[in-house]
Amino acid sequence: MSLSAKSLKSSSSSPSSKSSPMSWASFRNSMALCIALRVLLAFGLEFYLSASATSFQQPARFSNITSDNVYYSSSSPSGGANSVVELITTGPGLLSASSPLTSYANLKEGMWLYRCGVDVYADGRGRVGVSPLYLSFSFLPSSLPVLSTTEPSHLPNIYKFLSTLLEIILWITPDALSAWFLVRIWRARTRRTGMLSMSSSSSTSTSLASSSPDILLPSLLPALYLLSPFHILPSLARFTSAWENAVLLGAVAWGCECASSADVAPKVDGGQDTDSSSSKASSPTRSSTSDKPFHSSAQSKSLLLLALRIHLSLDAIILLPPLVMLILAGPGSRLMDPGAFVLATPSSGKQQDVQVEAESKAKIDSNAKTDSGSESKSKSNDETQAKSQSPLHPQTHPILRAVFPVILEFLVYFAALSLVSTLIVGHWGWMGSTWGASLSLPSLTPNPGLWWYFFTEMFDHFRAFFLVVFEVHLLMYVAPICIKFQHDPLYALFLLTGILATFKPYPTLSDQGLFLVMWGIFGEVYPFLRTPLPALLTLLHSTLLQPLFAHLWLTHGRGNANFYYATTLVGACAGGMGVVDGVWGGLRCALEKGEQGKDSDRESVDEEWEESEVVTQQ
Amino acid sequence: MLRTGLFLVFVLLSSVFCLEDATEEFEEHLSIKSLKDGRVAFSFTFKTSLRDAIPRDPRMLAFDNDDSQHYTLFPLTLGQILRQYAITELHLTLNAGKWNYDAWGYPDEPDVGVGAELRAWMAGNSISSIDDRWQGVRNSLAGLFCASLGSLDEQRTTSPRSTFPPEGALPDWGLPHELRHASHASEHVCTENLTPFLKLLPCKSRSGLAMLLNPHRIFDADWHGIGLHVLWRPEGVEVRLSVQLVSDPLRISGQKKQDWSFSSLFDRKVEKACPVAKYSRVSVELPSSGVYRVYPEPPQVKDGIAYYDLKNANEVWDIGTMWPSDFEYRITHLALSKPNPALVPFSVRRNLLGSTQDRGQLSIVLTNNEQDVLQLLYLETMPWIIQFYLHTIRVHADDALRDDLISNISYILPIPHARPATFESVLTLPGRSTITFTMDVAKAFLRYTEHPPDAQRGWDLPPAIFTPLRQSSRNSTYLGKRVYSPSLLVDLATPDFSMPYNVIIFTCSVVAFIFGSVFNVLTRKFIVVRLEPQKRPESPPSKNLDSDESGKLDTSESDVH
Repeated sequence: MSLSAKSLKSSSSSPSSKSSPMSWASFRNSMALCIALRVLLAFGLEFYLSASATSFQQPARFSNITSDNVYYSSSSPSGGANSVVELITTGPGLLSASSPLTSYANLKEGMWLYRCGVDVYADGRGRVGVSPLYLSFSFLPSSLPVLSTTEPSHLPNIYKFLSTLLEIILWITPDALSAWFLVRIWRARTRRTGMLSMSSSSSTSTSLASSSPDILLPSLLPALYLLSPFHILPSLARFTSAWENAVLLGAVAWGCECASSADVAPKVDGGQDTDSSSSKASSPTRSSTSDKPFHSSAQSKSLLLLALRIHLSLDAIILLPPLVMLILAGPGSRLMDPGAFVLATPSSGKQQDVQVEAESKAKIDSNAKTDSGSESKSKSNDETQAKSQSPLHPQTHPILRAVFPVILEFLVYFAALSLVSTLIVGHWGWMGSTWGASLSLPSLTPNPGLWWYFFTEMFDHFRAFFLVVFEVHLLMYVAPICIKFQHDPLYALFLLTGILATFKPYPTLSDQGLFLVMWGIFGEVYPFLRTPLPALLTLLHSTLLQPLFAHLWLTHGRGNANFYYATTLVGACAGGMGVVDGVWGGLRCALEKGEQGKDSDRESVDEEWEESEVVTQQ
Repeated sequence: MLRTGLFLVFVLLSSVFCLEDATEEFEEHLSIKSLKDGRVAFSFTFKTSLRDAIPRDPRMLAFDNDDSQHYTLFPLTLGQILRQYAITELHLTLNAGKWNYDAWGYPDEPDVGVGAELRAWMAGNSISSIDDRWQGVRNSLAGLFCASLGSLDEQRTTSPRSTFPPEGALPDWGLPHELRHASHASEHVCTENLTPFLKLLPCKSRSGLAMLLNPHRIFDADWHGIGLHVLWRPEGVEVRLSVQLVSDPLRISGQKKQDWSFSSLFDRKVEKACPVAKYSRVSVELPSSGVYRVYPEPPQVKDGIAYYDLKNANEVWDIGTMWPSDFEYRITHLALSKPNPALVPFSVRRNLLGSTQDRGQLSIVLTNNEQDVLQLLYLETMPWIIQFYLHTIRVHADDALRDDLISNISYILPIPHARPATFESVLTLPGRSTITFTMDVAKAFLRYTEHPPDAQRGWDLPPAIFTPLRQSSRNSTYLGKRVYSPSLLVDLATPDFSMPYNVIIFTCSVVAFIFGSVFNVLTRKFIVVRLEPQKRPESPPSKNLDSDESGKLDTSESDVH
């Protein structure tokens, strides 16, 4: 609780120019309420289960009879769950079960082995797939009541209580952080959009800033995140994916701020309230007059967190191009005003002419690059910058010059993290165990994704081929989405989150939940979604049936794997519908703007536009 | 031509006179023991010694000059395998059934783990050379014994050093010796294994003790197993072929009599001794109490053991024991009081708890029957399909958590689809106590091609092995005697074997559907086209856009972005 209070304080210390103090109060209340609910829920479950399972606490008792046919009742695994982790992961059946990369048991096992000096990553193909960075927790004293790998028997109950409490807090913290980051992202986007609409054309009066519920959303977003079962369950089961989400959202939040705050800085400075010198890193830099330090500070944090996220699971690498674009272009909603990729400018005064100039360049650029390869695309997207700031090399393309340092910085962080991991482990073998696990899929444990059953049933001689196909398929979305949404990299990033949740090798509920909750940021596309309800219902269908079928299959021995597999297929369809709808809505927004721009006397475009009227053509 | 002929003559002569050749010896021995539960344990040992022979130095494998394979008694087929792969020591056992240590005591041959177990000591400089030879010897023995030893591949191969010390000696070649051990619990011994086994004996089954090895009766026994042991001592190479079985005369006779004899249990008698055997002995352990009669009258009784020498008298041997009264099962020792004294210092029970197909708990219950503290070396060689969570190890001694009772854990992690886990630790058993070792395990999900043909039956897990360590000086007879726990059967989740095509098609369809939809939308451009009002005169010039037919929107061409 103390942590959340701190975060609240720091977030409330930087109110946006557009949101009223009222909304921040409601945000604070909502956040506190949600966290309290979560803590209560976690505690309640823990203690309810431990109370109801006291009879199972002891291991199976055996009499001294030496006959071999004595029947005895078995203990916890079948008798009843005596911890929430067990309940979630084994009880009702394997919700997003234990992906080898995220499961709590593997984390603890890895830490235990590491503390014992066993080489966890021997031969690079070990079973424990947790990142070496998690193993650095092993340096904590093992007597610490949190993340302890041993169960001290003689210690009093207060120790157990403390341990439970700390673990609950440790796994609610990432969710609270995520919620806070989410609100910051939303705020940066809103503010930036307001800036854009003010500076470029006043005609886009129906931009997000004015149309979205300014009061409601900051209080809804935390609730959306913290009270979503997609996040509660992984957190109860102590999946590390909760932390991975927080890291990713942190990267995005700071990525949003490094461009947007640069613009807003002079304005906000005046309106800064008294506790602007609070501890959060954004505050002191904002009060400084030069934009550059702030820019690089937020950018560094963002890139560092993304490097961390990619380190923890390699799949997030597809989020790198949109995040770099986001850092360079800012989070503003330009869905209604599509155009070429535009670099954010330090001062809004210059914005317009630079934009025009850059736009024309990027147009040529992106057209030229459309048919080129995927990786070069993201770079070419970022090529639009130029900026009079660098008169030294006027011949090199401005975007390239802007992208290069960002990529370089990311690579430095990534290399540094790899180095740290290698230092922790002692050799390079960890790469095979952690990143290799995403590539070669050694564990076929059921999860909500598509991979496990596909590669369970795959013929051996096609296995390598299809592994490559599935990997490449994941990469294939990056370039098109980044090109098409080059005017709004945050939206591109959001869509790629959905792709990741649907198609990554070891998805968990958290990934789906992240995609789901990020919808909250993009209120402007809601009117244009075609199938939001079917997609949501499909997702619900899949999510509700998954634990049921897994339980039937694995615990009761009724039904078989196909039932669970079918629900994961439905889940993939739901994710796919979500992504398709997101793409559609994001593109459809532009039409709205065009319509409005042409005859401004029209009030609004009705949502009930038939599809036949909105013509798309290839 | 002449020289060849002379050579042949020489070879023939030497083989004729080889009966007196001192470099090769063959002796056979049968030990018989009546067990407490009325069963009778037979242990056949056929030992062939090759004096002054040494195993092949692996460095000589490159030279094709191994001409020392002229054997008379020593089994040539086995010798060739041993020479070709430069095996120093080899143990192969094929057993069926569960050896009941509590009722039967220690077996004469300690390797009684269920299924096939193969281990070999090999010298070598490089691991790859050892692994290659290990694979070669596996396949050769599989061919020799008609057993599925080829399945003892690297997914089952471990190298636990301390549990399996070399039984003989290791030559000092300046090369490190490596142990390879593999066990396969679901491999069962059968007649097809016994037939090639008997062919390795100099007298086959035509004379001597091997006459008793009637497959119909051996494989009918409650417990039976055959073993091959090759070891080197400075005196020479020794090949020991063993057959152990535990028969139940109560069941065979159909009465409550525990009387047994060769003819009743094997349906055969020893009609003539093996002429090339140096010794041919039978020893019968006499019951400690009760009224009984051993026939024929033993010529020699020493320490409660009657010895017969089959080579002495040329007669038909039908050794047996009779009891005048019916057998009474001493049930008291099971429930009320301990057997006094216990046959084994500790008893083991090992179970896999949990009913789900993704998790479980390995539980081992050890009871120390002695007053002294006992230290056990505990070895698990677990296929990777069962994955240990070592941090969940809990040791309870008489219901109190005692994590200090486990020490010296050494653990080699499994590699999915490739390598089993090797877990060794030392368990301390306080005197007269029961300790419970529990550890959570995860059950793997296998590719559909990795499942055995009868996948729903489950997987046999190899037995755990416990070896008492030197702890107290008082009673050291059982030190180093391995105790095998029964094997376990684990139920793994199975996919639907009938639908690989369906799954591939379904998944690919969904992926293609999503991919297509996303790219369909992505490659479109949204534009609004205003129709000329005169084209649709009925369209009102109003503001509502959703009048369907009079829509101001229509197709127009757009560029593919």
